[in-house]
Amino acid sequence: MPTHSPFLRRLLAAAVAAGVLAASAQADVIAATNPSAIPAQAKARKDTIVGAISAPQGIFNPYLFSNGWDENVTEVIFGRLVGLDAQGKLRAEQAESWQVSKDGLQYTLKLRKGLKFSDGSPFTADDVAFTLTFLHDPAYDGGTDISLAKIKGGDAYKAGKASSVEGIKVLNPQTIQITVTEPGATTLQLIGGPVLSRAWYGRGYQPGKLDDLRQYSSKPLGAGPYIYDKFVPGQEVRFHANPYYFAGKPAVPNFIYRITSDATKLQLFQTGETDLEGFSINADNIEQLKALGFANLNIYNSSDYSLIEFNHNKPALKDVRVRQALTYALDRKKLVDVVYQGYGSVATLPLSPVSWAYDTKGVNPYNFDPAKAAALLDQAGWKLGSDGIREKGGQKLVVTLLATKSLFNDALIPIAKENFKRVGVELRPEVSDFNALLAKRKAGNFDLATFRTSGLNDPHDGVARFRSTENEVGYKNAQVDKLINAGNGTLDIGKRKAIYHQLYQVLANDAPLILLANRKLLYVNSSRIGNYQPDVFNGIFGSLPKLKIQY
Amino acid sequence: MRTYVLRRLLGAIPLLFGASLLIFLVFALTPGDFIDGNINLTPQRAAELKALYGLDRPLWARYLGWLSQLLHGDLGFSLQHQIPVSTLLGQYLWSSFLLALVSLLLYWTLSLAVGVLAAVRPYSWFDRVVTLLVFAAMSFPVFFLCLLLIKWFAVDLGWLPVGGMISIGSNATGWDYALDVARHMVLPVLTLVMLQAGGLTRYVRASMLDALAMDCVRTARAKGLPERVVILRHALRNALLPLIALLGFELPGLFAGAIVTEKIFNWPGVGHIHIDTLAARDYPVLMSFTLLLAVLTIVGNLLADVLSALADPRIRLR
Amino acid sequence: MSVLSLRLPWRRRQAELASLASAGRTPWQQALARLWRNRPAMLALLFLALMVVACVAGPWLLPWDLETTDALAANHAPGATHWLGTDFLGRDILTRLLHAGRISLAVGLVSVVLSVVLGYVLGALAGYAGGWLDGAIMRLADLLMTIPSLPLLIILGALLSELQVAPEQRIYLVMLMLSLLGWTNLARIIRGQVQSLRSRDFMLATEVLGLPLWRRLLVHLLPNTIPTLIVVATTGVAGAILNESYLSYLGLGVVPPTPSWGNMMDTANSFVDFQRRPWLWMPPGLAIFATVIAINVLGDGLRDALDPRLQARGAR
Repeated sequence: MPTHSPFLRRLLAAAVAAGVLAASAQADVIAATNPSAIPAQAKARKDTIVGAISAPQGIFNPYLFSNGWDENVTEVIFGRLVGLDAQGKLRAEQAESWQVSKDGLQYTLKLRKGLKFSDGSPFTADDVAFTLTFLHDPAYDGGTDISLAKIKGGDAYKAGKASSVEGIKVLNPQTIQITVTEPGATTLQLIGGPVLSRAWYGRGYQPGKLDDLRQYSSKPLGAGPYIYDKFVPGQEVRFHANPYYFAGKPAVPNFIYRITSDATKLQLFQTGETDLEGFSINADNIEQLKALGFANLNIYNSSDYSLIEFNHNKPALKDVRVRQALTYALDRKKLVDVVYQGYGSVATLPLSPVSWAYDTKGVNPYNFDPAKAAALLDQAGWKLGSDGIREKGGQKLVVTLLATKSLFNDALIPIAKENFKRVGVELRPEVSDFNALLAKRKAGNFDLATFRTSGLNDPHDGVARFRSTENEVGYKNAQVDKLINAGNGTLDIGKRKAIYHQLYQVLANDAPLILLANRKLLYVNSSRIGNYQPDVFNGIFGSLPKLKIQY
Repeated sequence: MRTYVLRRLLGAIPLLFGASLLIFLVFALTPGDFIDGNINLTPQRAAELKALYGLDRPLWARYLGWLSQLLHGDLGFSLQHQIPVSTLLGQYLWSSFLLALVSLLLYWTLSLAVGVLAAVRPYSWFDRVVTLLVFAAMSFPVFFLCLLLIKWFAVDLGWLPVGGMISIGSNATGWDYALDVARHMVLPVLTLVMLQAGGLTRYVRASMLDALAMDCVRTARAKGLPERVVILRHALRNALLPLIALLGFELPGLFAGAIVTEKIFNWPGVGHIHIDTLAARDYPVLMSFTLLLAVLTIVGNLLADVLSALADPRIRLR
Repeated sequence: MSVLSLRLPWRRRQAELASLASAGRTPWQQALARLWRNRPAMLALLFLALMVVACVAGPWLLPWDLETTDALAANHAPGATHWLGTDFLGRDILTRLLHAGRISLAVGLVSVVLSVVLGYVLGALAGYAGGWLDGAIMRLADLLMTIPSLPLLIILGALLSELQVAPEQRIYLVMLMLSLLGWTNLARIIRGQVQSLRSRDFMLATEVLGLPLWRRLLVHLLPNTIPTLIVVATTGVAGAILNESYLSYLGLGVVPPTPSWGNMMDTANSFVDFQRRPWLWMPPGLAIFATVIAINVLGDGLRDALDPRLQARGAR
């Protein structure tokens, strides 16, 4: 049985990180009806909470991990300077406050007083400087792309032309100032991430050589709510409460991430081996979980979206009318109903409905309309042939679709094939594993490709793919570029909202892709656990320090 | 015999080089690499990373690099796990081996017993029931078999754990640890035995049927030896000979990991590492692991040939 | 000749001598006649033939379209409208089951026939001829056994899609390649058997009589290895049909929405489906089970027909 691609794992990681959103307006909580049904095995665990995780690999460094599950582990150990609240707005964590200059080029972060790492050593601005400089190391091979923050002098340091990064300045042990060359709405999240202790990680570290620093990936030291104890490969990751945590030592002494798999996570939860778990959302799962009696079900919107991408280098798909026609032709409502059984919605914007920027007013929703699709194709010069397939200049309208094997695509492919055939377009699905799909997409040898984005923290993350400098499938639109840059160039939420609203309308008319679905997530906690209130942007980390054991 | 074994061992060297080249080529030609799988990278960053990992070097340079590493006894460094491949395999290989070994012993014993009994009375009700069961097990998806066992023994009866190799948060050592692991092993072992015993039982039955028709068995019967002795000493001995080749195949199987079973029972084995690293295109791990299995395959086949010759004087090794 | 041959029962010696003498024509005809008289085997053959006819003709006779989805009719239990119920997209299970049979039966039979033929011929040749030929074939087998098949399949998938091979035909090419790689295990088993059969009296007799190699391999050795071949064939058919669904994860199996028995069972992938919607997975499961049983019975009949001495004992 094939397992998830790393991409999928990353997505799922984002999903687990999402946790449960009891406080948010979008969250839907189905409370436990019979808390006395809590399994004895769980009740016997008086001082430990067991969460679920899928496949941690043991790289517990927030900047070196290669899979999202390791990221979940580092969140517990490290925490962040600047986080997000339930609506995706910035929130002060280890940093007490920050100031951004008017031109958006200077960021001044002030740390909380008396901040300490979990070994009791002081946590100062110097550690932040160490972390940000380390990310500019030419040998750095992790997943964080610090160049997106455009820190002044970063490129020079990376090229070996400077011994330090000019734009990183420690003003005093509690304050750090970062100067950048371009304003960016996501910059604060990038520079306000987890902090590595210079005393711990910098001991044997030489710029250009990561080997020494890498060995601490199995001995992480951070300032998060829990301290890392042990990784039992393939089994679990163990933690105990951090007495130096800035918001106070967590009430529950121990936390364990137990490794679970899709096939048996329900059984593990049912027998009380896990206290917190995430499930794929559908009517079957909800019914079964409700029947347990002791489970609190938390249902809320995910921050990702699924899509079908057009290859804009193909002549037929360069025509906006063909792209619009294919969007009209697809019965996305049916797809969402079949797959999510009432727990998802057709995507209209490249954004989660929970975001502050979500506004569909004036955006074409492309409701299912085969007649309109046929008319658009006629206009574009694609005429029905004798075999029911449209043709133009001797060329048949046959499109390939790259897809992985998944439950979602098991429904998408038959529906799309049937829908497209109805308007005279032949769909040829190509199924492969995700890595091969991306290789093929990169080679440009496809018409359509379908996948789901990772979890998206900022509206910019949802639209960055349309910027011509970042687009890998030949999409270019000067107006779109301008609006994306404008949206990322300011931190003023009011201004950004207006810009994104305009951008979404332009994008809808241009139909650079077919937006498929926004799904909901299902996170469940045993009713013995109290205060479980994480949210889609913070994950389990949001409420982990406050959790308590009630039964 | 000694010269034969020596010659085969020497012959294994070019074979291994050939295998290493084939294995390298297969992985190098597989579409996609470790960096391609990350959709969050900008094209610039992806190019930087490919250079850091040496994925942009020509094929021959990468092969020679890997080969010289191997000759120095270095299995390489996992891209995905960022630890030496030998350390990584060490973390998962032995739990797979434990599971496979226990299952192997059980299903060979079971298959031999059932296969012989079925062959002694061919087309009897016992033989027919066994045949039906074997084919039913073959047509029944592994996935459902695992879930059914979990439902009965872990959820409904609560006798055994749902999955994993040790209890949550357990710090047990010594006998307590062994007992804990044993409890967690019951269901996956049961699954593997049910999966593997079917085919093997059919082989044993076929081989035993053939042996029972041999002259020496008739002779033994004619001499008036008790049926038990005839079957166990004369027929079984001959029936086992063709099965030695099968035993040879089991050697790499002991270390290959059971992909589905390990996954469903959360057994920390090498099977899911194999699939995960393939999905991530973590070539150093994949190539070294595959080469390890290649070595075991070659050794297993050699052992089978030698064993056959030792057991059966009619086979001459040349 | 060994001492044992002196104790050869008279009846068997007669049978062997007869078959040696008339090696050209009669044994196969006799075997066919014996097969014809074997009632279970003939029933199994009839069943397989009916299955093939149903799979080829059935989808045309049923009113349901293979690819039309209907969200409102999803997961309906078997009833008067849909005899075997519907799947999660509201498609008729019976229509899909029969259509799937075309692919699954072809896949199962093609791959097994290919690897059995290759495995037998190469294994018997290696075991019988010995010497450098044995060495060459077995080292080739060793080498092939070391090739990791999963990545190889991914490459093949990419190659076939690059070459624009129609998805419906890919599965057969994949089966061909799997057979080209998969004969090795069988060859080693057959070789082991042939090595010990080679020195038995009746084989020595064929040498003395100066029969050509192909006749020794096909007429005299083959019947003795039939039991093993049947085991391989029956386990192989079930394996190939089930594995096909796994291949589709790598873009090598049939591409959805085309059904196969393997991928139909695969879509019922939760315990809820298993417990509450048996109509999703039971029909393809039973189809595979019945096919395997039929092949096994037919195989047993074939063995009895080819090897009268076993039949005599079986009847005793």
